[in-house]
Amino acid sequence: MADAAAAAAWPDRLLIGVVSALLLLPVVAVGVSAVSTDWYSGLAPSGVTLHWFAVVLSEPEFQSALGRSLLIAAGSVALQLLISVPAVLAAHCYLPWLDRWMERLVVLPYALPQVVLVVGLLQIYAAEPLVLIGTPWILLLGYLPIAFPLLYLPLKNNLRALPVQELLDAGHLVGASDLVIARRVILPCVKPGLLVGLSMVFALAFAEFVFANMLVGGGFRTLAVYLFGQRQKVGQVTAVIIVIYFAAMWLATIVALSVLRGRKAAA
Amino acid sequence: MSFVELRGFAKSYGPTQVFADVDLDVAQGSMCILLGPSGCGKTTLLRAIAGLVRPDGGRLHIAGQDVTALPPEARGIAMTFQHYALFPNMTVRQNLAFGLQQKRLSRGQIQDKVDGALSMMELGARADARPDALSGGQKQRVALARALVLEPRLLLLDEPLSALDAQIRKRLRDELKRLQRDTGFTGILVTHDQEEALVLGDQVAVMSTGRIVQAASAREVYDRPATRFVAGFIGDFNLLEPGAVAQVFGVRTAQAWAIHPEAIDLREADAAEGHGLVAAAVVAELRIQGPVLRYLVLANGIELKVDVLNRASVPTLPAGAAVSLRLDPGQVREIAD
Repeated sequence: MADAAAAAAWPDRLLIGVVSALLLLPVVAVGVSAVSTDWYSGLAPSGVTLHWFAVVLSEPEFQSALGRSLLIAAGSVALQLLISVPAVLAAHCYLPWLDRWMERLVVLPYALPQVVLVVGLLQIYAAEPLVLIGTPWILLLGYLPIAFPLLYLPLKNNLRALPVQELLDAGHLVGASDLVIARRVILPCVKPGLLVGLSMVFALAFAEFVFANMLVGGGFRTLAVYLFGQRQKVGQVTAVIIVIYFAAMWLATIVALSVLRGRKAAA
Repeated sequence: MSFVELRGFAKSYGPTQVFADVDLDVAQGSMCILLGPSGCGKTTLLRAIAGLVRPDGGRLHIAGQDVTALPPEARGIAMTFQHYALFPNMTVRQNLAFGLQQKRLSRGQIQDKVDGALSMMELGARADARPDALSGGQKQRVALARALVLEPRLLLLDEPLSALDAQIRKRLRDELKRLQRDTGFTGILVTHDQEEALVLGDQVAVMSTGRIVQAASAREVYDRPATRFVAGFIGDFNLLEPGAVAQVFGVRTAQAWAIHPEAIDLREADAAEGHGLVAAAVVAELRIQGPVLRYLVLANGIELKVDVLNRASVPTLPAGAAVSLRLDPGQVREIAD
């Protein structure tokens, strides 16, 4: 039996191995490129150096772009927490009709081409009362709807697994208000989905290019726009920027995971 | 005035009437069962008593106090839910303490009460576990403890045993009975299980499509069902229309007869005839149900259920055996409609 299972398993493993290798190859190549002296001919770079990191990190233009991207990412997370999370909770608990609409509308940002969204946002934010074109605010407001599905889906999954009405009833019977139950029961229970959603929101806002380039562009150069401007320069520079990207995303993920693990340990 | 007094309770959602004209009296320290098929409005009625649903009309008094307009927490009511509704992120102890914290009791008082409830429900060993680590029976015991720790004037139980498997259901049913005897709480329990209702209920109120059709002691409801619906829902009556009564027993009657399967004596055909109603029949089928033998017999073309205690001394009769049925007329219940 065990032999048969092992025999049946090896093609699966081979397939998984090949796919993983294919997916990892560009990441590894970028990582190697970032630390190579030059890599124009041959299978391996001719030398290893941290020179390019020093070049990129000491560039004031890069530093401010990184700062702007972090600011936009953190701002997007804050906006989702402030606006989307209460809205999703309220729709789930009290407004079934709104909940049904959210469920349908959540695919819209993916159904529309990004250029269409950009044109729409330009029309809205080019006119009174909110003239925001060229300012970072338009990015925050533009990312709010397109990042919403990333937060909505995992959060909603967690909510569905929760008998919210009965929990509210159980709370009401002892005189706990909805806010108290939300704070002490519902939010702690949906924390895993919330953290997954928020870290995806962070990732999107941190790395997004189309909106950042077309809605704001030179006025507020984010990391993605900066990277685009560097594309004609030495390959190692762009490689370093991408590695820093990855590092930032990993850091955000690790923070989210460690918060989760803290919760599990407490359980 | 009884301890819990419900008068004219009614509730509709739009054109859909959930329940209407509900009157109910529950004596202090007794257990009242709301029994009915699913969808008959019993859970909504329970939620209205708790104050979680606002009734369209009617009044509710508890211990002489009109609580109709009071919010749930001011009624002195506790409730357990069909799916327990334990707070998943809290330990058993925290679940029990939550309600007491809302009442702003001191830390020491909360600790004492929670410890008392934990030991009463024998949950001490699981005090620091979270609900998802508990079995179904344990979850229900936690739910009961969480309700009783509040020392409510009235305890509402929504289908407390329906989510459990048969073995645990029976054990918890007996435990519930013991708990009610020991602590003397006043309870209203919703169920669709007639056996549960008869075992647990001091009083059984049978509901059908939003109305209470009969409210009486368990014995009374079982022995004297008021309507055809109650007869069909409680016990396992043979329900004979007037025509069938004439066919089987040769008796003319204006009303249908309801006869318990255990009320009919079944003897071998050549046994000496006794007094009472007598009929000849043929065994169609024998089902061994454990404590009783259930015979399906055909008497002049009408099928009847007859139960005989399963004792070693009782011979089993094969299908096709000729038998005679005897019935004490006092065991017949006439059903009006």
